[in-house]
Amino acid sequence: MNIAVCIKQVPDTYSTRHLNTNGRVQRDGVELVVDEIDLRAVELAIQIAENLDDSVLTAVCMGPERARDALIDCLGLGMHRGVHICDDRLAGADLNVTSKVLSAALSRENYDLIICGNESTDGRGGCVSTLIAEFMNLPIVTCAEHVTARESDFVITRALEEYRSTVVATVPLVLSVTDKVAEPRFPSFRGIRAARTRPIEILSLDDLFSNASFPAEYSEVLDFSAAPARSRGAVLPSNGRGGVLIADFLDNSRLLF
Amino acid sequence: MSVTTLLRPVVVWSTSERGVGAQALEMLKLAARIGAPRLVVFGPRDLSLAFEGFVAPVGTEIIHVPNDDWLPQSFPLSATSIIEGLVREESASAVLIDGTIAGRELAARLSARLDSGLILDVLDLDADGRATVSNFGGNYYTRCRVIRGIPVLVIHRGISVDDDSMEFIAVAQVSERHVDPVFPAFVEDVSLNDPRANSRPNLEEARVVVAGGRGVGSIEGFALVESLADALHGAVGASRAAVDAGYYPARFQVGQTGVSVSPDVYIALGISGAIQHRAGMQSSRIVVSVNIDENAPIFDFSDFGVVGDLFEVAPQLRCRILQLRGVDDTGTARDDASSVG
Repeated sequence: MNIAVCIKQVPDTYSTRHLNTNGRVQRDGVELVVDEIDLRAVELAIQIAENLDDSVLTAVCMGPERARDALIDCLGLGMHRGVHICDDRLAGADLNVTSKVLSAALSRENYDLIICGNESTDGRGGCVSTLIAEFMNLPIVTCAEHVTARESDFVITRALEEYRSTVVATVPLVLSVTDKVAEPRFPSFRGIRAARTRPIEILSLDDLFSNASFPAEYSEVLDFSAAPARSRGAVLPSNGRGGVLIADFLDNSRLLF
Repeated sequence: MSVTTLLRPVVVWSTSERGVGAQALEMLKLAARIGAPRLVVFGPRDLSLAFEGFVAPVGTEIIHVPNDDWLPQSFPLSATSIIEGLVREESASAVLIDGTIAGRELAARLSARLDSGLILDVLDLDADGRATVSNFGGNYYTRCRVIRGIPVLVIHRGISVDDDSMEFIAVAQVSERHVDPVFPAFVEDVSLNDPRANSRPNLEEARVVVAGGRGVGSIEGFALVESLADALHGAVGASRAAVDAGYYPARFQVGQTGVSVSPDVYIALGISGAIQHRAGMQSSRIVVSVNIDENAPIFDFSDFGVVGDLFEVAPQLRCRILQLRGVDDTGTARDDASSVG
């Protein structure tokens, strides 16, 4: 099976994240990692391939030159090859443009299964996978929490707000996965060494679109502001009365509904 | 009169319940800033009764699409074709969609088919169509605007829109449209209702959230968090540490990975306050925390903190709240026991 996993390099969620003067995610001087949800998507792809004779696992990433590190991390985990869409003209690309570019790169090959994280930790959109499915005219199952590969199809449990639902789907298919879908493995020494020999194809916009058809922006950022910082309020020892103190604080602030 | 003044924003709302819903009204208020809204409601046949006397911004028109025969999973595809048709035939100045999982799928599909810009997590909208969105769970607010097609806006759940200069009136015009559902290409096997999710207010929309962390210590410990939440008519949340430890289901996780909440009151029990967690709750109006460790970072961004054992403080707090409200403790305790199960 030919499986692609879309990955994104993001600032580590355990650090404080900022916007730079252009209103874009601050990447300089920040620790960048493969988005955790994408590591789970990678793990799922590897697990599916483990039970099949012949699979090609491709990690696809759009991002600046540094994003190559994210692809290498995925190769170290067991992905076979990387596709790096790297073009300065894509800096600050909006959701629509990002999805169009990813779709163009994915359309170059016949993937049976395209796996995405259900939402990135820096954008929180949860829409890129559906946009890709629309542009590529493929069915999509979103929010997959559990995926079982069978002979000729997949049994997928979806986690929605108020219920779970189980669906059966065949390839070709786009799948967006939640953080329950698989536990990412740690890279092995052998895997990290093997990663160095695995190919990463680099694509520019010119490789994906004819000259006149670069996707133009669909939205623009006008301005942005930092939210006012929260300050430290009263912190009191409980001394056996903590519950009463809080209840009275809420009552005095008219916050008991 | 220019043509553009005739264009109307479309608000999409889907419900399985009888009422129209608070979030739908907030979305209508946002839409009313840019034109007289048209509300498309997907819901049960008998929902039409709920529209009688429904008060909305002046000029609101309702289109009711009964969906009793649809699969739950038919909503995104069916709604996409209906709203796409509505926008193309009658023009629209924008589409506003509730930020549910299905709503976001609908929004993405519409954005692709209408070749229109998509903006997510919208908190506010001005008369010129500029949207305010939050970034990184409320660290920043960005104003942005769609510059291609019509704005397709996914509205943050649980917003509260300022309506000082807005006029409201009982909706006079309700029409019904019957549409055949579009079934997804995949086969649906079964869907299970999870009553636990329905017995409390929705986490994203609740005015009060009581959240437990690693300090809660066990699955059983979360019964305490739940009973305090119930006394406050609030929702239950959990930190990532608590979820990772298996104390509470992942969909209640508040944080950068998980749900972002902005209730009036956020009570953190046994949560240290890692950046990861802070990103999901820092836009709450008031934060109250209980932690055994006086150096826990959560106190640095709490409006009120108590250093102590949550197993003593939480039950006492619950008791005191019921006292202040004049509720019989034993009666409520019985209700709690049935909802914890």
